[in-house]
Order: sequence, then C-alpha cells, then structure tokens
Amino acid sequence: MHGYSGRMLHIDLSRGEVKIDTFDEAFAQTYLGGNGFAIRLLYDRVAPGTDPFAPENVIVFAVGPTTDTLVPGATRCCAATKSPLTGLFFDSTFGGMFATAQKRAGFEAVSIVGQSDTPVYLLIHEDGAEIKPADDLWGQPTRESNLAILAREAAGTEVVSIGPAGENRVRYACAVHTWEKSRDGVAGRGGVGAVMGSKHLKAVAVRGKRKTSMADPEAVKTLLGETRETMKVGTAALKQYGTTILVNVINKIGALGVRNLQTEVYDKADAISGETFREAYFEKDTTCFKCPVACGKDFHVQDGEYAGTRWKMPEYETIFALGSMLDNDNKGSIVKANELCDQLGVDTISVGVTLSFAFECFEKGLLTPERCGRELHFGDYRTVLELIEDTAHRRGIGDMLAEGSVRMAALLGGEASRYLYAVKGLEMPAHSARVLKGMSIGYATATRGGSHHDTRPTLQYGTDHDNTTVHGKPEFAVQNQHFTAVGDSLTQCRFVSERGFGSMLTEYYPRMINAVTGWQLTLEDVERIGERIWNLERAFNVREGIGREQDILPYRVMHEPVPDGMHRGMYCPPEELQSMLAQYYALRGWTPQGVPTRERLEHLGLAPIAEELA
Amino acid sequence: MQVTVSTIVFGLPQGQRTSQVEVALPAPPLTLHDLIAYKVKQEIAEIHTHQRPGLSGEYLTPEVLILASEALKPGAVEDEIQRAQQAFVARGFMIVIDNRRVWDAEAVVDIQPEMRIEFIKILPLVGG
Repeated sequence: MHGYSGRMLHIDLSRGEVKIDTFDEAFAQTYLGGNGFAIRLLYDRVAPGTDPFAPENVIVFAVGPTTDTLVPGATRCCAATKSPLTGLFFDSTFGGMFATAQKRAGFEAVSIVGQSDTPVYLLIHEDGAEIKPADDLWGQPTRESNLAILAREAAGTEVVSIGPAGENRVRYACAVHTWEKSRDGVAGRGGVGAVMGSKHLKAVAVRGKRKTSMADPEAVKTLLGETRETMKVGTAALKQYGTTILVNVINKIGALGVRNLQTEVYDKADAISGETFREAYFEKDTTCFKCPVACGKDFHVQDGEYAGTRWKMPEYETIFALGSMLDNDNKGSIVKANELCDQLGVDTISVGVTLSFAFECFEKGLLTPERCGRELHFGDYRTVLELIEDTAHRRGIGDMLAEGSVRMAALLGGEASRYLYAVKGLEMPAHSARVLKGMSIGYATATRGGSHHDTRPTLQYGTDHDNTTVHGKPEFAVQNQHFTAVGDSLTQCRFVSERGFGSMLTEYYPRMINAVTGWQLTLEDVERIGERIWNLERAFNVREGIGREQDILPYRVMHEPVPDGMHRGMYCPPEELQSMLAQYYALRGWTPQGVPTRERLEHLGLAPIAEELA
Repeated sequence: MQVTVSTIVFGLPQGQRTSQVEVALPAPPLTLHDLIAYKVKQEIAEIHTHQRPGLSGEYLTPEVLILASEALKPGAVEDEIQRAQQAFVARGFMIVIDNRRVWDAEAVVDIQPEMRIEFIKILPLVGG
C-alpha cells in the first residue's frame, strides 16, 4: 500500500498494554489519515458522555499519506481527543519533525487510553512502544522535559510533552514539541495537554527509520513544478514575517479585536505589528521539516524589561490574544508571554481571550479586587504575565481562569456571559465574527467551536471577496469545511496547502493523493471524503448533545455592532444567523435541528452511524 | 480641488508600503473611475519628472509586485488608466473613502478636499 504503513498502535496506560493493529486500503480511502483516522477511532472508542478527564477518554496522534514524501508541508501531526474545554471532538495539529518521526516508526495512528498510576512517557518505535517512568519530569517546563527525554533516547527521537498546566488539568493546556534543529510545534487548542495530564502522560517520544513509498514520484514532481511559482508568490510575506504580517492589514480593515472586542481598531497596532517585531527582535528563520516557506522566526528581545528573552516569534493569533485584546502594546512582554505559555503548556488564544474576558468583567464590577487578589486593568502587561503563571498552577484567581471563559462566566453569573468571545466553549481567534460573514456561519457550525481551522478566513481577506453580505456564505462554509477536513487528514500545513494547492479543494488534491497512493480518486471523491469526516465529527458532537441551539455566536457578535473603523455597524444579528443556519443545514442534507439525516449518512457510507443517531 | 490619495500595499516581502499623491480634481460630479484615472495620471506624471521612483502598484498583479526587483515603471498613460480601472472592477484592489469602502466604479462620489481617500491592495496572505 503506497503512502501508508497499514499499521496503527493502541496503548492502554491502565493495563500497560501495547497492541499493533492493521488497516486495509479500503479504510485508508474512506478516512484518508490524520483527522479522518482520529475521528473514526474516537467515535468508536469514546462512549457518549465520557468525562474528558476519565481514563476512558482517548488521545490519538495521527499522520497522513503524504507525510515524509516529496509533498511539501505534510509535516503536521494531528493530535485529537474529546476536549475538556468543549466536551466535543477536537483535533489540533502541530508542526516540526514529530509527524515525520511517527511516520518512520510505521504507525499512521497511535491511540492512547487509560491512566497511569505514576507519571510516564511513551517511547514509540517500529516494534511498538514502551511505557517509561517520568516522575522526575513532572512539574518541569516543556522545553526542559523534551530535552531531558532527547538526552535519554537514541538519536532521531522526537518528543512532544506537556507542562505544569497540563499536569494541573488547565482545560486549554497544550502539548509542545521541541525540534532541536529548527521550528518547534504546539498542539495548542482544545486541551489535549490537559487530557495527557489526566492520564499522567508527561510526553510522547517517537523514532523510526521506515520509508514511505510513493506510487508515482514523477507525478508528484510534476505537480510541484506546476505549483511552485504560485506558492512562492502566495507565501512571500509569510516567509519574511510569519503570520505577524497580518496585524496591520487586519487592523486596517477594522477587524482586530481590542479590549475584549469592545472595538476592532487598535490605535497602537503598529507597535505590535509584524514589521515592528521583525525590525526589533528578528534573530533567525525556522522551519518545519523540509518546508520551502520557513514561516517560523526566532526572536531576541533587545529592549525594555524583558531584554534578553530569546523565544520563538509569537504568531498573529498570540499577538491578538495577548496583545490587542488586552490593550497590551508592550511587544517585549508579548514575546515573554509566548515563552511562558509554551513552557507552562498553555494555549495562547484561550488564555489571552479568557484574560481579556476577566479584565472586562473587572471593569464592569463583576470581578472584585478581593476575589482576584489584585486589580485587573487593560494594558497592565505585568499582571498578564503573572496571571498566566497563576493559571498554569491554578493559584488564586488562576484556578478560575484555568476553567476557560465560558465556565468562568457561569460561575460569575449576571451579565458576564455578554462579554464572552467563545463558541461551544472554545475561545475565538483573531478573525472577526462580526466583520467576516463567512466566519460568522463558519464559527457557529465549526465542530471544534471557536476555531479558524474549520472554516478558514484566508479567502475572506481578499479584496475580491465581499465580506459584508451573507450571500453565498453558507455554501462557502460547507465547501471550506470539506477542504479543512481533507487538509487535516493529509496532515498538511494550512499555509503551504492554501497558497500552493488551493484554498478550496481543487484538482491538485486528488492528483497529489493519487500520485502518492496510486489510487484513481476524482475531485468529487475527495470532496466526499471531506464531507464524510465532517459528518462523522458532527455525529460525535450530536451524541454529546449538540444541535441547532448550540450553533450560536457570542452575545456581543449578535447584538453589538462594531463601533468604529471601516466596518463600523457590522454584526451578525440572531435572525441573520438563523437564516444562514437554515441554508447551511439544507445544503448539508441535515435536519432543521442540525442533525445528519439517515439518507445523507448512508450516501457517505456511514449507515451504522445513522442507526445510532436515530 | 486638490485631494490627497494614499496607496497602501499590504503583504509585500518588504512589509506594508504606503505612498501618497496630491491629485487635482475637476468640479463634481465624479465617479470612482474618474478618480482612478486622475490618480494614475498624476502618479505617472510624477514618475516622468522624477518626483517618485515608480508606480505604487495597487492595480498590478501579485506576481508583478512581489517579484519586482526594481521600481515599477509605467507604460502609456491611457493603458495604465485602463489597467487600473479594470483591476478595480475585478476587485484587485479597493477604494476606501473616509473609512468606508466604495464598491461601484460608476458610483458618483462627493469628494471633498479634507476627505481621506485610500487605495488599498492586499496581496495573498494566509489566515493565521
């Protein structure tokens, strides 16, 4: 079987068992890899109602058919689980070198269930896996943990680990991969790190030397030749600045969240723009394995009270969450906060948006100095840094912040929920749900919740895209969700795929898959794979109680127009959202309550799922 | 009437590029197509008199803008105006007047000297 090893690995930490399983070509063609494999495994193995922190929850690490082939950007590893933040299916991908090492170990997917009595790490190799003690690493930051494991294991090993936040079950704890040679990777969103922590799983290490065969390497080379120029042009700014290049442009169009979205124009944006960061702190480019773009950067803070800090560049989302949302224009503190989040193992988006929610609650009198143990004021970056640490260790008010903004709003009561910026429990990223109508419907229907990786904002920033009208947006969301489902199943970098092979599914995708696997898939076949994965994710969530009532947007997005800037007056009122939802469900062939129908599921080869949802 | 037109190109490998040109406009009525024509004409005149090195480039393709190794030299004025007007209709760039985007090329706009007029080009980016 070209493109696949045909093997999976299942590990039970409670029993100390390791089992190698196989799959056939039909399974591969049905679910493709990565995201697709992960949702199939989680749907089958995690019973509805399972507590995400229970031993019965499962974590899956999965790669795709193009991983470790000539196809560029297939360097992501998909980490999936039932999220402790949303209670739903969640997949988060990370770059670096881990996915390649997993592929070389010969396991397309690794599932982990159970709970160890003591801290452990896994070493996965071509013959299976070993469960090793990690007592001495418990409590350590991610980088130190990763480096300690690398020192113990043979050359060629790659590691992803959790920090104190994961150990303390901070609901948005992440897992961090340190690639010593270049760019690190973070499985940031949804709390996969917290689930690892609940299993006393400090880290996962992997190594191997297997090679992945391609059916037609010449066809891959031809495809790459055809797309090289497009990719070069489409990633030119990304290569130079990374995602920080977005700060100024998104602020210019009036879509950059400020002070917990009280406005979307930041008058200090230039102080934290990509251009400013690069000029002040750029040290070197970093890249995931064999990536032609190299969007990663390492920074060295040269000025102010954080001078001397050396860490990777904060991404655009991080600058939004820990910068403009908190009215923090101290760029050195944003690099420092990024370091703290990575080392402690905290998702930068969720912690930043939760903090900005807390700051506004303080401003409105819903949180008192007594309850917080301090005052919370926008612009106070020192407090931001202290609260990140308190959150990771669940100290004081940090214990409440560690629950995420939605649970925090429920605890505070009153009008606190009006200040939330979250969908289905997941704090939202830096692509405005008020200004971009495609994101309005995209966020509301995202299986992850408030994520920009289910429906993508990329095309919506083009001047040829009318972001102001709802016309065509449900169709856009449906098609784009199939694209992201396929992309995450190929475990491709979104940037390389969007700007190299297309931001929607195009003929390049079946050509790429066919060249690697030797299959004869059409574009329609690939669309159906994406739709199948999406429906299975939705079915997982429906089993957990999700329906139309949960497909909603935050109060502020639905009731408070943007107060200023180029898109002043824009928002997504409830009736507009309901109209888009009705169209969206109809396009998907779902019921008016947002449940996949038997007819549609049977068409997608998911008839047994229909029985369960009936 | 004299107005200042700013051109902002986002997404260049060199970062954001902003330039300005002072444009003399006739008395109203004026359409966006007219505004584009006067702006392009003035910019080219300044290039010919060495007041500016090259085109600001909002109506050029991403390939031309990103791969250019030197200042962007104009062709004949009428050709450049036509290219710019066509690019606007194809939404290759946007025009924003006093913080509001104006979509229709044939729309008559009531331009006043103190207004903020911006031609904005967004080169291909990725959404975070």
